[in-house]
Amino acid sequence: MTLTVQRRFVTPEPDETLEALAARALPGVALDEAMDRIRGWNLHIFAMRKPRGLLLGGDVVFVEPPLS
Amino acid sequence: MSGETVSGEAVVLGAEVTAGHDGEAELTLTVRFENGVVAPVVLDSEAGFEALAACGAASAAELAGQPWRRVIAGLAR
Amino acid sequence: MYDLVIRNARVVDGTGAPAFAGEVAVKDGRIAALGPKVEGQARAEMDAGGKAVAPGFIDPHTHFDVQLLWDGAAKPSLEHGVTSIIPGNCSLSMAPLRAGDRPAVIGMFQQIEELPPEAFTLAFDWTWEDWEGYRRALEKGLAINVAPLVGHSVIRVWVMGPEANQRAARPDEIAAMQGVLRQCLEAGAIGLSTSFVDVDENARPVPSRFAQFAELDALCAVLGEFGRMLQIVPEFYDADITIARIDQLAELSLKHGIPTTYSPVFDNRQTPASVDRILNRSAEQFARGARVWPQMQTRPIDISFSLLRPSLFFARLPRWVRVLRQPLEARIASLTDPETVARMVEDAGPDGGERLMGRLVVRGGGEAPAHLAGKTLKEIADARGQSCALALIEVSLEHGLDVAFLSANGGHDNTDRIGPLLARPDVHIGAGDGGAHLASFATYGDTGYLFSEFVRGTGALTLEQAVAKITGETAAIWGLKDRGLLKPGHAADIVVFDPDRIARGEERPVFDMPGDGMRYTRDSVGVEAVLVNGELAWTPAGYTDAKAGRICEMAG
Ligand SMILES: [Zn+2]
Repeated sequence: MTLTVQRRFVTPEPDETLEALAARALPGVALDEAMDRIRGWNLHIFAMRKPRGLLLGGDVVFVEPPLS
Repeated sequence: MSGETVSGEAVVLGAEVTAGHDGEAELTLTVRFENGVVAPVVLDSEAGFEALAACGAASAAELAGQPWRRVIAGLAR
Repeated sequence: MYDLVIRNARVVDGTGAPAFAGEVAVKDGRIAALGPKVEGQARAEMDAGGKAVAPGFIDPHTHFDVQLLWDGAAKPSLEHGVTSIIPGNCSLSMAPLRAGDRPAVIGMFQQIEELPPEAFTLAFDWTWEDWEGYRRALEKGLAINVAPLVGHSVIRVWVMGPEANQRAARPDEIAAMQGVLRQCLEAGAIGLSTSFVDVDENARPVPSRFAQFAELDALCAVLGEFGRMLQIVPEFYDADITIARIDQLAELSLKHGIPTTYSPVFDNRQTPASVDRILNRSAEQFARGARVWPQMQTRPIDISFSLLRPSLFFARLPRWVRVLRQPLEARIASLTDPETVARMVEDAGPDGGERLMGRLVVRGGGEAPAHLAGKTLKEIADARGQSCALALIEVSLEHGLDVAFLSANGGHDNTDRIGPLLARPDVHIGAGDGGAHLASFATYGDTGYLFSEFVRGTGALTLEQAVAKITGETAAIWGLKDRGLLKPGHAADIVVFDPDRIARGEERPVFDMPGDGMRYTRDSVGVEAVLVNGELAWTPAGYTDAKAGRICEMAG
C-alpha cells in the first residue's frame, strides 16, 4: 500500500532560528515573506506557545499550506 | 467587512466555538489558504481572544473576511 | 479444590467470541477452568445471577502515578470494573527522579493532574529515586494492577537537570538517557511515554518537547530491545500535525519493531474531516506493517468555565467579549454596572440567553453554593425570575465569580458517528486520562459509558466486541502477560456486571484528595463485583481489604 501525499514539514535543528529555518525550508523566497509564510502555517508554534515562536527540537514545522 | 479578498491571499472565512480536549472552549477558524484549500485552524482561549483583538473584531463572527496576514501579525509577534 | 467458582454466569471471555451461559473457576489468583459447567469443589461460590462475567477492564491511559501512592485502588477506577491501569503517560512519571529534581516534576504533575500541593507533602513517603525504588514503594499497597510507563520528560530531567527544558541533548546525554531507560525497563517499566503538547505550571513546554527526533529514535532503539510501547500525545487539535506524528511513529515502529500509540483522537462537529483523515493515515501505516494505535475516548468532551477567566464560550457575544477581556477588577465593576449588564443580557438574544446558556449546569466545588450545584441555569433563572444571562452574571457575582458552569457534550458527542469509529479494529479504546484534570472534569466511567451508549444505545458494538476492546485487545496491543482474557492460566481479574444497566454515574465533586483537595468523580452503575488476581476487591457494599494488585508482567 502506498502512502498518500501529506503536507510537508521539517523539524528544527538545535538552536535554529525562524530566519534560518525559513531560509532552509523556502529557498528562493524573500526572507521576510518566507518567515511570514512559516508563521501563518504554524500557529501551534507562533500563536499558542509560551514563549511565542520558541522553536523546539520536537516540533513539526509545516513548509507549505494545508493540502486538503 | 468584505467577505472576499484578492485571490492568492489567505483569508479567514469563519470562526466557531469548539470544545477543546482539556475542557476549555476554543475557537476554530476556517481559513482559505493561499493555495485555495480551506482548512480549520484551532486557537486556544488566549490566542482566540488575541485574534479578536488583533482584528478589532467584537465577536467571532467578525473574524470572517479578515486577511490571515492580519491575524498572524496580531498573534505571532 | 478451587478457591472460587462463579456460577450462573454469562461468560464474555474477552476474545470477542459469543457469550455463553457457564461457570468460571479460580485458583491461586488465576483462572483455573471455565465452561458451561465446571466440575469440582470450591472453597467459595459466587452466583452471578445470569449477569456478564468478563475479564477486568484495562485502562491504557491514566495519570494515577501519584494517587497510587496513597490509594492503591486508584479510586474510583476499580469500582468501574477496571482491574489494570497504565499510568506514566504523556512523558510524566514519578521515577526516575532525584530528590533535588522533585519540585520541577511536581510542577508538571500539578499542571496535568491538578493535584493539590499537599498530595506531594502529606500523602506518602518519598523513599525512592530510581525505578526499582519506586516500584517497591508502589507495590506495597496495590489493590489494582499497574503497568507503568516511564516518562521521557522525567528521564531528561534525570540526565540533564535544569537544562532538560532548555535545549537539545548532546550525544553523551542521549546515551545516558538510553541507559536510564534500559534500567527502568529492566526494573518493571512497560514502555516509554512522551508528549508534544504538555506544559508545566508556568506554561513552558515540558522537557520531552525539547528533544530532537534523533533523541526519540535513540530511546526507541532501547524500547526495541524489549519490544515495548512508545506512547505519545500529538498535537491532537490539528489533523495535519497529528498525521505528521503518525508518520514519525510509523518510522519508529518499523525501524525498531515496537508498538506505538497516540492519544487522544476525537471527533468534533466543527472539524468533521479530521478524524477520518487521522484514522486513514493510521490505516495506511498499519498496511505497511507499522503499529500506530490511535486511542479514542468513549466519553464526550464537556467544557466548563467561570467568569474568573475569560472563556471563548462567549466569543459570539460582542459585549460579553468586551467585558470578559477586562482585568478582574474592571470586569467585576462592569458586571455590577446595571447599564452594562442590561446590554450584555440584550446581547444574549431575545430569549435572554436561554438557547445559548439555559442548559449550562452549575458545578459543585469552588465557591459554588451547594444548593445550586447540578441545577441548570434555566432552572435557576426561573426560580429567580430572571433571564438566563442575568442569572449567570448575578450568581457568579454573588460568589466572587468562582462559580463553574458546565456545557456538556460540547465535542466528541455524536454517538452515531463515534460508535463505528470505536468499533474499528484499528482503533484502540482509551485516552481516558484517569486521575488527571481532577478539578476540571471526571475522567472515570468511560467503560460504563461504552456499554450504555454504544452497546445498548446505538448498537455499534456487540457486548462481546465492547468487552474485547477494553480487555483482550488492550492486553494484546500493549503486550501485557496473561491478562485481558478469561482463559485458564490467565490472571483472575474479573468483573461481574449487568449488561442492561452498566453505565457511568453523574459527575459530582468530592473532597477526598490530600488536604481535602477537590476533584470531580463518577460512581459506577451496574457493576456488581470486581476481582483482582482472584481476590474480591470491590462490591456495591464497598472496597474490601484485599491488596492483590500487582505490577503487570510483560509477554515475550
Ligand atoms: Zn495524558
